[in-house]
Amino acid sequence: MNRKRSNGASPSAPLVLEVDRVALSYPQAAGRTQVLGGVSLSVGAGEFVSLLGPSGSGKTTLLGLVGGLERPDSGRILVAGEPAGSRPGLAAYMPQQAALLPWRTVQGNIELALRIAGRSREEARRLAREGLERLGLERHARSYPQVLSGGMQQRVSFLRALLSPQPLMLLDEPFGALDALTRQEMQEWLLSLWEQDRRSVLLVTHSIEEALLLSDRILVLSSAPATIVRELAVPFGRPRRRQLWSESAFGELKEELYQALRRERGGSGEGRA
Amino acid sequence: MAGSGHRGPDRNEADGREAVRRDAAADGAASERAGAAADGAASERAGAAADGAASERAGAAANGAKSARARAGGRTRARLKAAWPPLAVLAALLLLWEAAVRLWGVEAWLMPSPGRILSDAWEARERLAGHAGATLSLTLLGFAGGSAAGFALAALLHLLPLVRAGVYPLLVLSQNVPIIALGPLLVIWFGFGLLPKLLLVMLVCFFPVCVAMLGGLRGADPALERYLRMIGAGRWRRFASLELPSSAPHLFSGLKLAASYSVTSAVVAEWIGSDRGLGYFMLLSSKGFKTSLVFAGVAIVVALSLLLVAAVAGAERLALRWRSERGGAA
Ligand SMILES: Nc1ncnc2c1ncn2[C@@H]1O[C@H](COP(=O)(O)OP(=O)(O)O)[C@@H](O)[C@H]1O
Ligand SMILES: [Mg+2]
Repeated sequence: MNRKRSNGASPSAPLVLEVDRVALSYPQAAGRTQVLGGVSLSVGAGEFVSLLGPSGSGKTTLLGLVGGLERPDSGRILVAGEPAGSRPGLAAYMPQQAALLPWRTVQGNIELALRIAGRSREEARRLAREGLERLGLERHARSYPQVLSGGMQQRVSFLRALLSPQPLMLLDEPFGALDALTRQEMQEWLLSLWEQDRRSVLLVTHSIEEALLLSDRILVLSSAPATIVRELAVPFGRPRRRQLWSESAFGELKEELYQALRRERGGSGEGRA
Repeated sequence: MAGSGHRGPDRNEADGREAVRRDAAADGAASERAGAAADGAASERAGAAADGAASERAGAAANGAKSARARAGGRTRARLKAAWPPLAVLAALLLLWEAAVRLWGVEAWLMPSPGRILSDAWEARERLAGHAGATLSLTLLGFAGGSAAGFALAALLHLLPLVRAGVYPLLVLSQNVPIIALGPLLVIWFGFGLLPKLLLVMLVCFFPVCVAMLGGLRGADPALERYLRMIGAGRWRRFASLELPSSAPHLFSGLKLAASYSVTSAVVAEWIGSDRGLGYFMLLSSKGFKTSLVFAGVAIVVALSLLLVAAVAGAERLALRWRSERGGAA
């Protein structure tokens, strides 16, 4: 499989995530269903990689394996050099739902994640407060998450992952539940934040534009059993702006990815353009 | 523009597992509400309804401390508003009772008038207070001990799933045993001291708390559970930070049930074997045809029961403040 890396990370930089021929199946009524059929991918230090795939192709399952929730049937996953699951909490995580505890304030939720990541109580409090200030969210620090809008909840959820010390961040369709306008705002917000301190990111999405706008590299996952069927280096420089959307190269890449995805949907050609 | 919001039918099918999780999360609030509705006391339900109305109204107000104060004020006002009609009916019934007893000249040993009950109770106030004190301490001890034991066992069983699988069905079944009927047995085993009475009240309080708590510990949002596991939260951390707080509404339903049973069971325990307490006092008074004092005893039992349930409800409101912080898009 082509593992050439592009802008974002130099080839000699250590890999923050290495997924090597990972396969996984689940028991079903008759036998087992193969969900992952030998997936290989890598994320370099400071690289933003997007995983694009049809729904149900096993993206969330793959992130679960990276996070050590389950073991693969075969294959190998190394997170910052350590086997996945060898130690809890090898990667920071931002799920599709904000996953904020409703009985903790925004500040309290961030503190909890930092405590789990091994920070002391005082450190967690200070880091959370500073982070909220840096992102201009300090006026929400003492609010309970359920009074915040969906977009605001996702900002808090992202900040929580951003403040966690792990070198790798896993983002699972972070904006999938937001309306179109909020989603665009959030993408630009995340883009500018990420470009400030380039963490290694593996982003799962089913939005082609989102992947093109944010990533250094895009991997297309086939439908189950999932494998990487297409890899594409995104040629746009950084810092990026949404104006990319109107460039012709953007349109061509979008069309290319769209065709690749459509083939993976079994050619049903459900309109997305 | 493409890229969001489009959900074809195949997506819905393929993402079924996640959709279920999402639904479960969305239903969380609803099931909590259902849990609250399962509470025994009707007055409690009326109170909750009044709360709802108040917080809705306050939800329209601006954010910040100002709205918090407005919400609290609105809630008190709503509660007062909801309280006066039943109070008026109660007063009318008492007046009717007084009038009927006087009109037909019913004898006091058969049916004393409210006024007579009051004056007799005032005369016997010292004895009444002493016995009420004894019943109250028995109730509080039994309630605290039984609830603590129920809480502890529920937590333990939850952390030992295999043991839980064996014990939980029996616990649920045991709720059908009228525990008060065990009173005479306890007297045979433990004599007439404090112990058998305390055990009885504790047993009565233990089961509702334990069963409610076990259900609640299971009810944690799976999406939150998955998140915490992903970022490396261990078993104890997930228990303390997720399962325990998310079971709090269930715990309080159990505590309210236990509170409303506890005074009654203390009185019954005192009937079975005691030389003090309201149960003993009422039994003695009824044997001496001092009906007005029996009524006075009943009134105090009702008052103690209401006080205890109200105290638990107050603790619940305090502990679950975050739930009244609703508003905005969720
Ligand atoms: N624990 C499980 N047991 C059985 N099947 C599962 C389990 N987890 C995931 N699957 C199946 O694996 C497939 C991939 O799921 P998922 O990773 O959530 O897809 P995606 O995130 O790409 O939409 C789905 O068909 C799903 O039903
Ligand atoms: Mg998914």
